[in-house]
Amino acid sequence: MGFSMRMKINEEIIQTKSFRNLYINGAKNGFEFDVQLAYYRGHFLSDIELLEVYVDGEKMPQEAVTFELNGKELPIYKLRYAVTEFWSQVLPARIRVIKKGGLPVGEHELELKLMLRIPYMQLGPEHNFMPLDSGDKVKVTVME
Amino acid sequence: MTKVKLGITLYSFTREYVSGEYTFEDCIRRCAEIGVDGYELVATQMIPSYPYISEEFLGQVNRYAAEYGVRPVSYGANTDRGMRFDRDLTDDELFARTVTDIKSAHKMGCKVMRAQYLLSPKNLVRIAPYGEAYNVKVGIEIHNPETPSTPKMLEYLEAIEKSGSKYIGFVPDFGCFADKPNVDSYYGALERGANKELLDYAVQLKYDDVPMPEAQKLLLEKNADPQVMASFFNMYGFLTFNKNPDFEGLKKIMPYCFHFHGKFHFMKEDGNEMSIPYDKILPIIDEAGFDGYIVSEYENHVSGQAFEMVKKHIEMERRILGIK
Repeated sequence: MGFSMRMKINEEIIQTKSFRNLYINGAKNGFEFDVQLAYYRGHFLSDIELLEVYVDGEKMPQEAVTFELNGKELPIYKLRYAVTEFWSQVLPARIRVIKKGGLPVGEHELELKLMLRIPYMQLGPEHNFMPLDSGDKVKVTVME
Repeated sequence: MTKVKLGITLYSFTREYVSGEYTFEDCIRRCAEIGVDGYELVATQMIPSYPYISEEFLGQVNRYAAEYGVRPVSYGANTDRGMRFDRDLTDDELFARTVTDIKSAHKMGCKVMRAQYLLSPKNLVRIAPYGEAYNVKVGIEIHNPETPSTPKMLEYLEAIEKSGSKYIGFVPDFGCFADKPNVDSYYGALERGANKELLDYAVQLKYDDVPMPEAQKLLLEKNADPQVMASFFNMYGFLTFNKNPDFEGLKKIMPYCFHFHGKFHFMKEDGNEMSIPYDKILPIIDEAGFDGYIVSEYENHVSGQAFEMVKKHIEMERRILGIK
């Protein structure tokens, strides 16, 4: 990995208090949490180059992950086409992960890999822009 | 009496705003407390409905303008050429984006819009009639390491002159007239453990206009530490400075300047900026009869001292310009 910009102005990227189980038809079947973009300005969702969720080092399948903003819950593959969806850096987005049976009770390591292009900082021709790392790794606790 | 007006870009309050310490209203209230009547905002930073102005946001803008006597004067647009995943935006697409920004600037009541250099000179000329229709002047930001006389900016100057339009021009950022290293490149580097002797040497190399490759070689021969080298790259890049700032270039473009970014990094105890010679820049602008805003732009916004620093900055400008 080469150089990437990091600008964590807010206290948290993954908002740990927002972490909770996801219930489907009354049964624990995954988890969700809020994420705030770590930069001084907002981005169109099409600037997101990579979004992956890991729990205790295990990658969650992309098909099980969604990204919700302004009431629109997008599967990850749609982010790159979302040239009209703007993510303000002060409005958290919600990440949802469907996982059969959810996470076991106890402490877990939750990692979000989130890489974007800084779309006005062109480093060279051929679509070469400064990468922005808005990823995070936190400890979360599943209570029930 | 001077026609220069003083304002603040809310970008100065980035840390306070993004961390949730200040709301949008708090940023504007702070401007009123400092005693200015105009602000700039970075559209992608403070307009949640970007690139559009929602009725809710417009209501806030107007309400705060009435309540605090501070209104938006300039709209900071970004030229997001890299917003598609697969390729750069074409010039036609960037043009269309810029028209959207002009409409939003107009809706907010801004008479000036800052554009960035990824908007080509040809596109800037093409935008002029739209600016005129909406009464929004569009200026290309001149930001370090560019100066009014660097080749890229001369291309814009030629295009602007040829167009004959009053609606396109420049928004110079005072950072391009720095004549000393900025606070972080020097004192910040020392705090992070840079070797003082070699850091002074790096500063001297830049001050003496030693070309970058040669200067880099000289520093590496002396085994300069990574902190010194990081400052070296800044001093030759976005945070560069010159023994002889481009004041002649500034005088030449004054007829095409309708807005300025009063960039600063640190206000000293004596009331002056550490690395940017305001005592020399402001008289040039004032003597040219400039009738518009200089907005204070505090770049070291992670410090948590934005309010105090901006206040001191405005006080300095008032002193130099003789504004009571």
